[in-house]
Amino acid sequence: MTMRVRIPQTAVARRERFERIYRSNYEAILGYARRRTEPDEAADVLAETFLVAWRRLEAVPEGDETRPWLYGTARRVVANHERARRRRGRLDARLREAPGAAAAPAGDRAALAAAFLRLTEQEREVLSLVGWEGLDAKQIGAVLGCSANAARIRLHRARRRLAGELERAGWSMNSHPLEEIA
Amino acid sequence: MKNDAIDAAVAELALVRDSDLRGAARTPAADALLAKIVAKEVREPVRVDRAPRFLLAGAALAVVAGVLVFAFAGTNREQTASAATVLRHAGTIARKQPPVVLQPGQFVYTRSRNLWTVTTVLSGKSFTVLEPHSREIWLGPTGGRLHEVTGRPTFLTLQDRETWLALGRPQTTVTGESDNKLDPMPRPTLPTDPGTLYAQLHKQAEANGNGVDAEMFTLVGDALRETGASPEQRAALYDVAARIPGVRLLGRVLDPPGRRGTAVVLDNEHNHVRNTLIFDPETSLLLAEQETALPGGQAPAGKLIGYAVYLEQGVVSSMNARPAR
Repeated sequence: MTMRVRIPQTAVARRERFERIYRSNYEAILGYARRRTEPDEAADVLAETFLVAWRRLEAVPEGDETRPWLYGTARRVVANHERARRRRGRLDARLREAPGAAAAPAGDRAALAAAFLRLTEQEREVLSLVGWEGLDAKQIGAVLGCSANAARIRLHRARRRLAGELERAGWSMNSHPLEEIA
Repeated sequence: MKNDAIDAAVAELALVRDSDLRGAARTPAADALLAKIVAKEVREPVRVDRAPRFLLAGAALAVVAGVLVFAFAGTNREQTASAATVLRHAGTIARKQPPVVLQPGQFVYTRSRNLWTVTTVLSGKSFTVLEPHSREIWLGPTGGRLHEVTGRPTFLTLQDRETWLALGRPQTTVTGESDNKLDPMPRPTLPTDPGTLYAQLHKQAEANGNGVDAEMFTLVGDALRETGASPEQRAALYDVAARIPGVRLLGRVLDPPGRRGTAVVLDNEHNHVRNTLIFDPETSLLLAEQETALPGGQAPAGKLIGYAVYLEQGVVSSMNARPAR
């Protein structure tokens, strides 16, 4: 549960605090949005997320808790984004087609993407928050609005589910260059 | 399959990596978005906490009525001219003050007493209470701390109490003690040239719907309190205040703890609020601020709707320390 920090903010202090939050989290939130929406929608998600933060600055927690709060806001913005929902299919297609940074064989990547896309949206999100945003269970809990323990359980189930999908698809970790990265 | 391997496989699917976006926060596009966002009016859809942009102390109504005994009695034009003279002199004083230079592990400590309005909106109805606070804040380059005790609120008007009763007596505010960590104190970025500062604050104020002059007066007050502004910046702020149309000299006053101060006011006809700043003529430090209702607003004319009294300030060596008395 996030406690509301009620810090009286003067106009100048308020703007300065917001600018610090904006500058230090801009790339992370843009990345979050770009990984989940089309580029033009990502700009909207970015703007809407920071606009919420500006208007609710007194509710934005300090320190290490700031970024998970912003991710959580961005997540809701994405979820509510009509255009994002309409174009979800296109994004999924890009996920299948895009070359991976680790140069995985095209067939393996397609199988991996296909397995990932068979998961529920919630399973994909919890795995993405670890794999794409590098969050831990406590931070995931803050994003999803649940306890760290609940986040751990969701993560465990999602990992197990993806592993099952990959095994069914004959995707072997042992022969994949990702093994070296892991 | 190992967790790490699964996580790495998922990472492989990322269409964009953070490293691809490095530097994006400092691009013209990012600057433009930031400017667009901060130009938006801040609205809280459910609960409105009014920050203390002002004021005197607990018995401030009595103070306004009876203790501001040296108030000037000239015409508005005379008072405006006098205010400019007094504010420019305050700027001269400010410039002579020694700068506060914090060593690692040091903090600027400020103790204050505040009151501000909290409006709650429920089922299309709203009621407003006045929430008192005792506040201690430690600000430093490595972080800070805010310790606050929220007292029992009172209703702004009888009508507010009746609305609260009609809504089933919902919780108004959370009283009690709170203790929070703060981010490192932001480095003051205000220009020290009065003309440049005036232009900057004017531009900021233009985005506000409460009138440019009143907003500029508020911005000056904001920058004078708890911001760590340098003597040169404080001098420029007083100089800017001297140029704001409509700022009037109230005269020499005693603030609630009984300290001698000089008061200047600006009436905001947009939101029907009188803003008062009281500063120490010997040091130019801000002693207190106050907001009172003017005719035509939600609150009865003359009603105190907010204040802040700065009781103690000093440099300390830890976030638990207080200045020696």
